[in-house]
Amino acid sequence: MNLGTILVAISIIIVVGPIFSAVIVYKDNLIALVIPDIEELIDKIGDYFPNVEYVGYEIIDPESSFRVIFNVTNNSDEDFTINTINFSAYCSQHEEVFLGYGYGEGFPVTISGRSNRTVSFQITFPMQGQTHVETLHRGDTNFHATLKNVLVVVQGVEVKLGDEIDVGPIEIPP
Amino acid sequence: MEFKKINWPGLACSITAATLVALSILYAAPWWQLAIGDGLGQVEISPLDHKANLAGASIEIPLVWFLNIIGKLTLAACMVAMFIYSVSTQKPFSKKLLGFAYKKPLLILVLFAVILAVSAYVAAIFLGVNIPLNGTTTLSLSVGGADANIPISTSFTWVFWLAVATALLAIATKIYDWKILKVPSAKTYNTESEIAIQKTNPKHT
Repeated sequence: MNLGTILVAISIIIVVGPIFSAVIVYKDNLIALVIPDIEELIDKIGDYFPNVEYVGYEIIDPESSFRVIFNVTNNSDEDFTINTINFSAYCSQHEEVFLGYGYGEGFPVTISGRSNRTVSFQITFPMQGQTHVETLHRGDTNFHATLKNVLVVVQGVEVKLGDEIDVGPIEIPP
Repeated sequence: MEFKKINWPGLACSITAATLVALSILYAAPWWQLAIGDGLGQVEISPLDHKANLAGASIEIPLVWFLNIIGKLTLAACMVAMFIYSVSTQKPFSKKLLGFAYKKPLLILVLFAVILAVSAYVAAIFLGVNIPLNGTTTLSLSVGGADANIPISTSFTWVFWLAVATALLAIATKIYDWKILKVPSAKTYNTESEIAIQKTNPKHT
């Protein structure tokens, strides 16, 4: 056989062979040949983002600050890094009253794959917030704060949450 | 083997093509990569391999795997043909081997560049963000009341430039064959005896 013919045949086999094999292998579901398994993908992406569970709070300074603690569980095999979290806290009962601002302590934090760790946020009250709590919520055993303007930076991606987050009940000392 | 008769660009081309195939088999070395955030997602592609990952989930498109097989086989065939041609440029079959091999690296490179450019264009239409082929940008999304700014960075790897060098060497091989070696065409002289006659009597047809 002529070498030119052999080379043309090789060129055709190289291109047609894998395509033909692909069609044979996926003959029962040709869609799967070009589109990934979306459901499996969504499940895996869902597992990637950690579960956050409210643990509690502790008073740092009765007059000016407290700490909110969460347990973060990473269900994926990959490490998950939270770079920063900032937010503003408002009184849930008196919606327009600014209580203070909060930020993640010891950030950035990395939660290793298939593990969990405690993440805490410190909320600091300026004078306005202190006055409000002292005046209207002293001794309140069911105090709730609403977190707004929540800015989260995870894995280098910045997310501004539109939803408000309720934190509580918090026991305010008498 | 006469060293003067070796097509050196062709030999270099076969070596770089072999390196590309070896890098693909051993390391799945990408030619171009895209990173989303700080490890949130990544895309690493070449005509020989692909790897895409978003939020820990590997994105597998079987058709691309089969297309990568075509890329690997094409480059491997080019490498073998180019090597045999380069060390036997005076043989009657050498022209056919050169004709078979020299366009393939350029074809693979051009197809890859076109697919990249079209993908970037499609992303611009559907996501409304211009993803540079080599640089950084920020993708802004609003989902369920949350606004996300997602940094995206893209870059060509050194393996891509090795592929460019391979394509250029393949073209140089053809020019070297044409200008320096001046090997008679296999279509005109089919046997070694005919070539020998042509060498001793160039006016013979």
